[in-house]
Amino acid sequence: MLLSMLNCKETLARLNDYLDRELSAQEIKQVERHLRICHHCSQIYATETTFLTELKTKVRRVETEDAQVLSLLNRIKAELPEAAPGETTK
Amino acid sequence: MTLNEKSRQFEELLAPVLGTALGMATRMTGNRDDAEDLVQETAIQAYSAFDSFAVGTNFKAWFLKILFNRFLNRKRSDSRGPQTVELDETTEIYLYAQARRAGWQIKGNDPATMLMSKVDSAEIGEALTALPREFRAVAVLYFMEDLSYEAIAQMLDVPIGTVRSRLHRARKHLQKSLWELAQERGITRN
Repeated sequence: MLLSMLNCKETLARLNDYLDRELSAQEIKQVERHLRICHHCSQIYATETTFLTELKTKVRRVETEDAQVLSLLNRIKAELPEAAPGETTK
Repeated sequence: MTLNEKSRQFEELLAPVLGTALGMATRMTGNRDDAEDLVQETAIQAYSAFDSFAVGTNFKAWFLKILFNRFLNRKRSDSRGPQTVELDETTEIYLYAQARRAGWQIKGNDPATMLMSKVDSAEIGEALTALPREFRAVAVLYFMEDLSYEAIAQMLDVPIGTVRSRLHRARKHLQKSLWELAQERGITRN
């Protein structure tokens, strides 16, 4: 099937969904085809994809030490009700 | 099942997801104490509802759904919460446009690489917690767990279109706030 050519505006409107892997196979082909031939849009794509990758990496770098997680688990365990001998949940 | 068996089973399922839940809660609340409180409250609620959890299905998704629901329904007047900003309409290509205006578009130096090398993880966390909480929830699920729009929509009980629009606006706003942070420091000048 012959795919219609996207212009810059149409490509940029799809760029976020393309980065998020939310486009259909056909739309992916259309966006990639435009990016191959348009230097301006390919520069924007490079900026957006780098920003997103760096952002994900740094957002994930949140400090949760093992000791903190273990201490929280123990606090939660202490809050859970204790069973009387032979007691069932229902 | 005895109460002891129920507790043991719950704890076995909870332990492997606790670190992830705490990390996400830290990004959403902006501080460690609130994050621990949120996860602890979630765990107590999840335990109370544990009879409704179908063993063998995805405990992590079930637990995180309760976590996000609690987070979104917390009192909005919570004085300990971070100050959030109003999201204005930001251009689709904010960072690229600003970088060009500032003369950053130098061959071989991508503006995003240059900007992100100037801000650390804690500063990005602060920018994230300044987002309105509905936007923050979507952004945290996407950035930390790489979930699809559909999976996030199911988790938060909102339409896919809402996830898409909140995520895109959150991303642009983060570009804007990080760019402004860089500008305040005078590091956006060549």
